[in-house]
This record gives sequence, structure tokens and C-alpha cells, in this order.
Amino acid sequence: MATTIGLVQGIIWVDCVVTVAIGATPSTAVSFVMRFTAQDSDVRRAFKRAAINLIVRAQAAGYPVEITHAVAATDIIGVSIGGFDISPVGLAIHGDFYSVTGSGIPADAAVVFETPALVLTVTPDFVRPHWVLIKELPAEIPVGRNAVRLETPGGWQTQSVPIDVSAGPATVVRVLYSGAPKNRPYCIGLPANGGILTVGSQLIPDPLLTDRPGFHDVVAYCLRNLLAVAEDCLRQNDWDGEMRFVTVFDRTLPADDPNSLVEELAPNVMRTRRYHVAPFLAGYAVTVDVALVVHGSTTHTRPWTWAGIEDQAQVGTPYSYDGTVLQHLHYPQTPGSAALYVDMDRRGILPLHECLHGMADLNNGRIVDLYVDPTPGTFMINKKFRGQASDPVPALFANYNGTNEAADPARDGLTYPATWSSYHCTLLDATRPNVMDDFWRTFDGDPHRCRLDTLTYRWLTDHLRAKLTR
Amino acid sequence: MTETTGIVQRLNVSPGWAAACVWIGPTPVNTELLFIQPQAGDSAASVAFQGNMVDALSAALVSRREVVAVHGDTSARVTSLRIDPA
Repeated sequence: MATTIGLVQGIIWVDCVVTVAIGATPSTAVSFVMRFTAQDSDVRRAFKRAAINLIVRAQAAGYPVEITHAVAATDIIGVSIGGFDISPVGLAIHGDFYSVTGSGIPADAAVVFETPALVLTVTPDFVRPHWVLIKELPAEIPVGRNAVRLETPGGWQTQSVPIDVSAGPATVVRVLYSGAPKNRPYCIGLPANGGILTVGSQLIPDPLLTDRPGFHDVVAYCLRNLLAVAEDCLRQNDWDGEMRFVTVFDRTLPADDPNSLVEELAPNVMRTRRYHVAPFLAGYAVTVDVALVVHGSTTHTRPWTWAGIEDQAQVGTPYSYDGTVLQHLHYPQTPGSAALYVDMDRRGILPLHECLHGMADLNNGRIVDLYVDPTPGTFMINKKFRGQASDPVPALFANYNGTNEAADPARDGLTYPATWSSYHCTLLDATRPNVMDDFWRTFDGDPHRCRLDTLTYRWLTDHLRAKLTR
Repeated sequence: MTETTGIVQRLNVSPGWAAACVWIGPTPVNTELLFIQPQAGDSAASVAFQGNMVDALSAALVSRREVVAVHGDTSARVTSLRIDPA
């Protein structure tokens, strides 16, 4: 058996024989044939048709094909296309998100678009070893056929993949990264909200739907926040390569009840209407574990996040907390959801902070805010209470899966107010506030360097592992 | 049934073996290998249907569209295919 790889230079259909010319140029191309015969079974005929269709597609797209044939023979046995070392994701549309995936992508990689007349290098807005994202494909990239590749100033370079760039319109549903090739990969959704339920019980249009560039900007910021700040709980071992990320932006949405995913709370809080989120996304064939709902209200900009409500009927991975056995349940019944303001302060870590609230489980372990003292509600993993505010902070915070985790006696440099009875677990980086605490008060003014506490990190690691391997 | 979702990274169509192999996943090195192969006794309609699924995978590959391939929990044989809205 032999293989010949090259561009499709020509295809000719004559007398039940299809002849395909394969090579780098028309003059150097080699011809191969596919014969349709009376002896062909229905099955063989169907796959001959499919193979020729694949060659036609490859020719139109400018993809090389790999022809399998017998040595010194020209009859086509098999046809393959694809197999590049990078993968553009979805249509290339001016002003829309554009992702390219691969492996071992350096942090300084750029995306290069090339036509015979122009080479344009675009610095991505987000880079991971397996994924780069451009938040808005520049209009300077010529419409029509381009070749896209990744490269670095140091000479690292990928193969080029032919793509067809269009001027628009931008897509409604955009898969930024498709996640593990399996059933229900762990998914973080970023939908644009359609309507707002006001404190006066009115439904009003969300101004975000007239600000698509703002939506794109905050999505890129959210991704950097989740996956590129000092806290690495979501990207450890590069396991974010198994997560799925999808956006929805539908500017045609009426501000009716199903499309209104957020509600105002006086004086300035925006909260998701958690039971609306999954049905809304289902309308776009999107299923999520956590939704970061983006809204454009300028009066209610403080975020509120609901923890997920996990499906008790589905399988889980048990864990113990101070001797009590609970579950990291694998599938959500109601996804966690956060309401994020499109123009939030980009210096902070609100998307990460809120997402961690949403990733937790209302019934099997919440991750709560540490910057307030009283915290009513169901079981929380990252906060405990002393009998009296004057009692000393215990040395032990909790026992998680058989390992003791110490308490944080000083709450970093923030100190516990004298009236507080709550206390926290010891920090991964004792020089900065906890991600779940008042991170704005970090001493060097850079909340992006804040970390979690040891117990929350371990718990989230196990929680995510249970979901990523479900 | 299991749904495997992702970009079609590679597609091989072999009339000689009357089968198609498809690599689906988020990156070229993180894929699931699935196949389409009519079975003995499949009707002409079923064979045509399976060939048409291969055509859809061809189109999805070159347009970089995500597909959802449905197969048995312990089988890599694709029985149905979906291309969701974008």
C-alpha cells in the first residue's frame, strides 16, 4: 500500500470513472481513478461517492488530500483529509470570536493570516497551551481565502490551514473551545442576557444586546481571569483542555420572561434567575455546568452568584468533611450561575471569584464569601464560626478526606474584625487575601495574584476532577 | 447512547473497506476515533443514509463546524449525527 499527498489540481468525471489529479502544481500532479462499476454493492457505491465528495470538498477548501492506493497502481483505495497540527474553530467572521487550537502553544504565539497579497499578524487576547482566542477578528483580514497559522518571534511555527474569512454576520452561538471529546464535557457558558427583571417587576431590554464589542471584551477578560491569573485551580495540569467554553449572543431577543436571565436587587445587586438559565441555553442546544451571564445594566452592577444544584439522582464521588460523608456529584440539575456586568473593573478577579461560587454545590458544599461575617444557608466548606467573637481562632480548620487543614489565625493582613465570629482556612499564599475574600485590599494592588486557601483548593480540585472524569 | 462533540480533525473514507474513520475533538491531539460502516443486512436506505453522514462530516471538516456524533456507550460506530446551530 502507498499514499500520495497533495492538493487536488483537477477532477474529471467520464464514463463512470472519476480521475483526480493530485500534486503540488498542475504540472507535477499524479492522476488517480475511482471506477464505478456494475459489480459495486450499494455499500461500496455509497462510499465511493463519499470519497469523491471528500475530494471535491478538499479541492474547494484548498486542503491537501492523502490518497491511499496500491504500489504502482492508480485506483483509489482510500481518501483522507485533515490532520493539521492546529485546528481553527468555527467560521472566520470579522468582529466575531476566533479560536485556534493546538498543542504546546507558547505564551507569545501570534495568529498569522496570509493571502498572496498580505500577511497580517494578530496578537491573541488569550493564550493557553492548547488554545488561542482572538476576541474580535480584525476587519483588516481580507475577506475570502486566507491561510492561518500560529508562530512566535522565536521561530516556533505551525502548519497553515486554509480558511475562508467573511465580513459577517457574527454567529449567535459560538463554541470557543469544544472540550473533551466525550459525553457532556464540563462546560462553562457565557450567554449575553436578553432582559432584566427590575425591582419594580418590569421586564426591560438589556442594553448589552446593543454592545456586542463589550460582550466580546468581557468574555476575553473572563477567560483570562479564570485561566491565566495566579490562582491555577481551574487550569492545573492543563485540565482546562478538557473543559468546554461556549458563548451565546442573540441580539434579536425580546425582553420577555424566558430571555430575562437576571433580576435587580436593591440597591445595586444583579442576581441571576437561576431556573431560567438552563432552559434559555437549551434553546441554543447548549448545556452548561456553570453560566457566567453577562448583562449591561449600569445601575445594578454588583454580581450575585448561585451555586449549582447538583443532581442527587446521578452518580457522585464521595468525600469526607470533619467525618461527615458528602458527595462531589457529577451532573448539575440546575447549573451554577453568576450575573456579571459587562463593564466590570478589569483590575479585579470577579469572574474567577463568582465562577468558583457557581462551581460549588448548594447542597453538598458551598464556597462562600469571606468578606462578610454572617452567612446563613446550607453547608459551606470554606467558612466556620466560633462560639463567641472573642474566642480564639482554632488551630484546626477542618479535616478533609482524612487530612487536617489549619485555620488562618490572622486572615492574612486583613485581620478579623473584633465583632466577627467567622474564621477561615489557611492560605496558599499567606501574603495576599483569599480569592473568596476582599481581594481588592491586597497589599500590592494586584488582585490577579491572590490565591485560595488550602482546603478550598483541594476541595475544588476533587470536585472538578469528579466532573471532568464523569 | 453517547454523544461525542467536537471539531472534525481528520476524516478517512475507504471505499475498499466500505468504511469511514473520523477523528473528533477539540485539538488535533485530543480526539476520539469513531467510524461509520454499514453492517451486513443494512437496507439501501440505511447505506445511503450512512454515506450521507460521511458527506456531512466532510462539509463540517472543511468549514470547521462542530459536530455531535452519537454512538453506543461501548461502541465507536456512529449511528447518528447532529450539527447544532451557530
